Amino acid sequence: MASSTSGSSSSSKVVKIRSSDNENFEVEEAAAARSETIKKLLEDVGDDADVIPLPNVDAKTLVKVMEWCKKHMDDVDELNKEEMKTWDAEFVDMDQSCLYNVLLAANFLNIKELLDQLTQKVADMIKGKSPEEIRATFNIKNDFTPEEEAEIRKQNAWAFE
Amino acid sequence: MVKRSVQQNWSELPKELLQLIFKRLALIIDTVRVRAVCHSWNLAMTSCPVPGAEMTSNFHHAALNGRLSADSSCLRTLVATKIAVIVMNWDHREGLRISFYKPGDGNTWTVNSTGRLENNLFEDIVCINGKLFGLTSSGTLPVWDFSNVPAKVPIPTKVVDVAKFQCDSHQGIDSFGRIPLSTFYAVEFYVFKLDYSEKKWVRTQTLPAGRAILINELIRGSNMCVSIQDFPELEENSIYFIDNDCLGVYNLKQNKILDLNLKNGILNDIVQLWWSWNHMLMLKRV
Repeated sequence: MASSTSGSSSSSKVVKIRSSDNENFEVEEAAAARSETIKKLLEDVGDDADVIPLPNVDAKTLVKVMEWCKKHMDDVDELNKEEMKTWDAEFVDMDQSCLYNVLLAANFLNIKELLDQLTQKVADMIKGKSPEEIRATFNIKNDFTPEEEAEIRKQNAWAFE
Repeated sequence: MVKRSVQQNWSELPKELLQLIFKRLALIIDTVRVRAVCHSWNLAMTSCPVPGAEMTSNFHHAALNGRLSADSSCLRTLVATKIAVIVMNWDHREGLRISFYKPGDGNTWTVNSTGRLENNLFEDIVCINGKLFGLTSSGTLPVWDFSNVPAKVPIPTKVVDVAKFQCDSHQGIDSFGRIPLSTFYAVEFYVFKLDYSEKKWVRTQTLPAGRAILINELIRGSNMCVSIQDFPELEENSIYFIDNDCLGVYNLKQNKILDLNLKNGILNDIVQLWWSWNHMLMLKRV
């Protein structure tokens, strides 16, 4: 049986995970298990697990996600809450390309708290911007025909003044 | 510097992820604008169960769980709570109507109830914990409770009607958590605190700790209460006001106007704040 992940890091059992570009990582189980996907896989394979393959996440992204998981491995006491908030805010402050990959990875790995933080970050980047500014921020091509765009804008002309 | 790595195509983000993001957009104007970004964002937004898809042509402003903004030119006002969207519409024949929308199946919002409002001029409106407080131009404060409205109630019940008080001109209400507060300007400021159980206003000379009030005569509905933690250049227990192009500060404890022409730097900061109160968090200083 896989050991319990609820305790502190003192037992610090280590699991191996492999990125899509075939890099292996050793991570404390308590950190890796922040991912519901990995936790489930670990429960399924038990102690026989050799390496857990993560075919959807590249090494660079995995490093980033595991950095978050390690930080969020233990329960945070009241004193550290503020510090953690600052750390989280700095963590999500990454370039949009990295943000995109980490967002997809958090979704695939099913790490709800991280997904909450990332979607909030993207929403904050959208807020107050015009469609043109949003496209520029996220590198999105305008694929509307001029007629389609005019129609959408006409429906809610007040929002585009 | 932001490193320019391979650019990702955000229009290809899975729909369910886009919707998780869009659900965090509290202002209707943002939900409308993301629809005009590209096809996939438009599709994700219109199939997203947040206010916006059906009603976007009906209103101008929305705020989640907080202050709502009145558009005085057409008297349309809206607030969204976690459970419902409240829309006020000005109808030429019927006067001011209040409608109460609930999330329906899928991406629809259904009108749960609608009714007439007898008072058709609101100075200011706030929504706190499912209750809607409207300060009328005659100084009364009708309160509607939306927090426990059963599905079939014709119109949310008006639970409290706070009597008017004597004052020359009133400015608005704002909230400190649960307590609506009223400020008035004549020669000096009076700040009243609502005693909800007694249904009456009580004059107070202290604001909750660490708070200051901003008042702008020129823009209706622009008053707000801010934390001095967020804006360290402000002093607590003070009212900052703009009147006839001059900016002043009034100290509640000392009961007098301290300075009528504040320094330009602070003026600019505060004016910017007023114009963008919807985006207050973005202006927060570090």
